[in-house]
Amino acid sequence: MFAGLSLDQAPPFRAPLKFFLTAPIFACIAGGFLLFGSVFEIHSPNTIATIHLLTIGFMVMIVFGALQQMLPVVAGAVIPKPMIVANTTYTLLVLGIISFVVGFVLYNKLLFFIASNFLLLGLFLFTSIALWQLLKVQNKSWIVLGMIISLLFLMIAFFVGIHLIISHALANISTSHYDIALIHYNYIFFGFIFLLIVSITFQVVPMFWVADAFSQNQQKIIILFTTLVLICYGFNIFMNLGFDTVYKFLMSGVILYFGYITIQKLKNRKRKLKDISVYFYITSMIFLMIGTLFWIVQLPLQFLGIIWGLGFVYTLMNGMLYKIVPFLTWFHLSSKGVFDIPTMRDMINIKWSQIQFNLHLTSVLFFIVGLSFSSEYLIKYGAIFFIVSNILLFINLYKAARVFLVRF
Amino acid sequence: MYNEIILDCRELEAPEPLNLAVSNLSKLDDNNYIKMIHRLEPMMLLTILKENNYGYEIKHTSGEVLIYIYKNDEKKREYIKCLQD
Repeated sequence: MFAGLSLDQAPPFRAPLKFFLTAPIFACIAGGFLLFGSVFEIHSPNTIATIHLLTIGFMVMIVFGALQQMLPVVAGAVIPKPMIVANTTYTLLVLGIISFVVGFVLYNKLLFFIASNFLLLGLFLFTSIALWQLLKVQNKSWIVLGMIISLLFLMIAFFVGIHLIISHALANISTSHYDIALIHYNYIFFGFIFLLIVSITFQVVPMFWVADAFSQNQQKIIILFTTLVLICYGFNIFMNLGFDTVYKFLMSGVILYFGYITIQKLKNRKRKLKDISVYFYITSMIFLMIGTLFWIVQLPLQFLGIIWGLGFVYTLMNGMLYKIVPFLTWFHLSSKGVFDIPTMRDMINIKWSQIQFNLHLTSVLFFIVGLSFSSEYLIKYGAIFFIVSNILLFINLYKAARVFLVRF
Repeated sequence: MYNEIILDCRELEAPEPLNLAVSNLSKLDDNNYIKMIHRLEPMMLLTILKENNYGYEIKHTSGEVLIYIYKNDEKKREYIKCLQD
């Protein structure tokens, strides 16, 4: 179909694919930590290791893989020398997360320094290249601006994170350590992850599910408001102004608004074909909104970690992978002139993605109920479902990628 | 006067609009152009068009994006610009 056309703007398939296929492996290891670990206190080394296996090992991996693909789609921007950038970032992230986890398990200070350096290099390299490409876009849409702002928040949060890990390495935990950690969590979660998801949602919901596009006003309100609230929050923490409740209400308002309009658009989409990725997306938005209500009533941080981290972010990324990987397979096969390409729907068996969705949802519910009743058994059952779900996710994605890999 | 090839992609999900547009590029000649009706600005398609030296003009209307694609030709570009106005 693309015969005779130049398609230089698309990164090679293997560049983002390795990120997508590695992410479920790190998620399985995180599940293993939950299964065999015994400590569920949020600041314990075991928990910090588990959280970062999910945040960096799964989420950042997916984000970096998706960004390589999304930049040409959203902004017409291209990452230069894509294989070199992808391989270098990937290697640094993998080495960084492994030394981070082993460092926390053994509480080894040398490994903290090694992890900091690998992660610093990997995150900084990719983020600055992506930022540079986005900044070069001439007519910046709200989607592009949202992506730029989210990457800037990632950079700030990351340097704050480096400060935190070095404090651990030097055993110099100051009184302001936990305030700085608050900036780290809030900027990572709302500034980087939430804003990036918002920006990508504005693009992919109309694109993949034939839903109405988000209006320019809706895009502007959500992106600008979130950014301003987060900047004020930084001042609030550093100057100890005590506006935490105001911050919470303002941020909750924008999140609930975003969750509500996204669900409405997906519910009213024009082509209502059975598509598991829609289940993932709507479920993710429901968890986002439930988590926000719990955040207002000050549920313990562990609950929010499960509801927002696994229920919202993880579910959404899982669903997106079911669209992105078949899309990439289709695109790269088309660009190589292959005609007998299965449709995106045929690349991943709907029955198996439905089973994976059920397993994932079951694991999240087990975690929530387990935490509610402080039951280690239920949490461990949740961990088993989580591991099996991620093995199946890997298999489903690999099957879609294999359609391309067996030919080229 | 040129012939118009209309591609209505408003109810198609990705990658169908890209597929449809690219497979119609081979039909372009000196006497016609493609009018694509879409919900979004198709960035990937635009980059493909640019790289392969096709001309295009974009018009945003309420809730729709019209993309006019043609074989690069100054006269045709002027004609399409008039159409958009």
